[in-house]
Amino acid sequence: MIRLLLLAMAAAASGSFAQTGDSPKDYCRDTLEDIVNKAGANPASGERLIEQALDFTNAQPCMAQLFADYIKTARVRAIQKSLQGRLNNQQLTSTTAPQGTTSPISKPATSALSLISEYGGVTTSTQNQTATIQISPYKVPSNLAASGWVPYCDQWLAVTRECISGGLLQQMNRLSASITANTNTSAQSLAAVPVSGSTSTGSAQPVTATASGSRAPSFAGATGKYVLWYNKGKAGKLDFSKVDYSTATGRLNQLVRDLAGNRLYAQWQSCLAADLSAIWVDPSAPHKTLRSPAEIGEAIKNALEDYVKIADILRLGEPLKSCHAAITLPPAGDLKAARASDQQFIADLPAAIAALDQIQAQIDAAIIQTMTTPALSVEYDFSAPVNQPTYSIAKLAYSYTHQGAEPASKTACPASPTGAGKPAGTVACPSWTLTLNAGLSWYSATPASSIPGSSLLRDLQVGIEWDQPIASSQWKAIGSLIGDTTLSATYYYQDQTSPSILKVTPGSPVAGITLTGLPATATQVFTQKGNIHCAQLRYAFGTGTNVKFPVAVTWSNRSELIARPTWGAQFGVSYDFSSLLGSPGGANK
Amino acid sequence: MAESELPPAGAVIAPCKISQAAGEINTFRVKAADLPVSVTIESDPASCQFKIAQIDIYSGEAKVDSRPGINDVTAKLPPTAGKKLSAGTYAVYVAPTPASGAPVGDPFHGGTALVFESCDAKTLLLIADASFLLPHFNLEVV
Repeated sequence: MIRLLLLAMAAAASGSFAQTGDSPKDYCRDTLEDIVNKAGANPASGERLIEQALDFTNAQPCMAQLFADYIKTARVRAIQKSLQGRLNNQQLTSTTAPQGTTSPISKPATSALSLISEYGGVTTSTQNQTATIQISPYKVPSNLAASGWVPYCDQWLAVTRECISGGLLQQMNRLSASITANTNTSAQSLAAVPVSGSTSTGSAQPVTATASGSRAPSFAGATGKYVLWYNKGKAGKLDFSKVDYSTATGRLNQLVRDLAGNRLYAQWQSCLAADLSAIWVDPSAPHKTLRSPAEIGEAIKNALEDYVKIADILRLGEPLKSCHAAITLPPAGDLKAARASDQQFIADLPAAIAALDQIQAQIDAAIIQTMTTPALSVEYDFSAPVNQPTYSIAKLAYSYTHQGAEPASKTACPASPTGAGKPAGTVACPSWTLTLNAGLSWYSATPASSIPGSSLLRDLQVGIEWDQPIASSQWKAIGSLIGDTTLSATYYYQDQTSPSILKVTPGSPVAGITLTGLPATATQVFTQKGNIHCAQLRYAFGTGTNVKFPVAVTWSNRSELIARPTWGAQFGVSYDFSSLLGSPGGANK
Repeated sequence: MAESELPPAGAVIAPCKISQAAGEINTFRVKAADLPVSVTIESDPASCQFKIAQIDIYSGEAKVDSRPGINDVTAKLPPTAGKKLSAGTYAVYVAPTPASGAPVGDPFHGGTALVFESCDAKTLLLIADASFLLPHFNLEVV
């Protein structure tokens, strides 16, 4: 049941499974031509490859090709799970659209799965508490493939039509989304009237309360983000130490065991050895030389015809009927025993191919995650603030992370807003990060013409943030208590091209705002528009951990409603659950 | 030996301990007393910078030795220090790391990883490439 649920999640996250078309490549021919190509440069390599090719389990792409139909219908998956993993350069505050954010700046990347609770709202006139869940759809299918729960399209073993491809995962790695709810402002309102017939005149009065609306948290906003551009990592600095090949070697070794002593297989090996020896002028010479290209071509053609006969031998359990090389084949021996061996090989083959896919998924996940750092993203926010018209924001977010010196030790990088926890010795530790934002927002509907100066365009906005990690874990006395931290300085500018609008219902209060003297016909109120300059200092505890506590102090020359300078404080907590989704390589631990 | 063929000063040239087992396919032979031996990986082209990622050794169905995360161009066979291999035949898998700069889906990036015994004649034990993704050889310990 759990597996079905995870498969459904992967399918939903990916949108659809990738389809690999029928490959025009002939991997068996490639295998034999590989021998000739390498023998041309170094005869010893050619001899070694012939030996390897005669052990059929070594030529995995050819093996997968010959048994593709069977593997497609009998795919068996090892079910394993890991509990480790981190993504880097992630945003761990909600975006600016929801009204309770502690930060006016968006980062290009998002955590795979995180939950954020914040109290704030840097440009709003009233503080709000919000809860945000962020998710990147990449991690779930990537880990399902790396742990063998869903098929992965290894391009060399792409015999399965329905599988998740590396290209699809790369695209999914660019996507993230979040949804935010108001948690301090109930969507439900109450009306109370004196109890019917009450004659009490005291200071305490009985009332009858009636509710309208829902008690569920109200929707505050949603965000979708797509990474346009990555900073490429340094070639050769990838960390594949977590990729464990044991599952694949164990499965392949089982195939070797299945064929041990199989006389039909031995016949085929003898035939192939003789066929392939035809590429040499003198096969028995200690220093071999290749024949002419035409003769080699003929030898490879013959060898290929005999090479692919292994499929029928193993499927049907019948002796080799012919061999191009004029040799006497060894006796077939006990056919019943050979057929039992063949059947066991066929039964074990899908798991071996699946294990190789799994290794490739782990390698590709390491490449996707480690080699790239999101640098430029485009973001769409939809915001539904309480008692205000809904609006949208389109935004570009750019981050530059300055790479520090490569650490000499093998310990993890010191504190960093983006690279904490990265194993040292594989990458340079990031030292500081600069993030730039530019965007515009617009109302979902054109404001009423009775609001002077209003337009569909709500505002233009730019922002800049500088994050400096602090190795506070090394401070005496409190270092071990607070761990590493990050100091951030932010400047944000918003040009209000349209006045801020509040929706009011006469007789019903607006949360946090007292309106007096309005005519009974008023349904909207608005204030004077202007330019907002906002500066913030933020200190975040928990750098390099899965739980972060940003605390911020903000000054602005005005807020969206109040045209006077104002101070505010914001704080929050974010939980990064990415590690619960597992990581490549941990699957086999 | 001509002077130009002399090994560089300080170079350690060890006699080869592993030899091809005549008449047996994909099989090498070594004396138990000669173990462990040093193996090294080379890249063609050199820019691929393959390293030995992992060595697994099986005897029948049993995995008798395994060392993941080697991430070096040289390793010992068997890879675990102090591990003894008694007389018998073993299947030896040497997994290379992906090539330097390999894109998603193409771990060999057109290159070839060659695993040798580190000795004067550089016995070629294994070749891994796009046609032989995770090959093995048989090691007969006598």
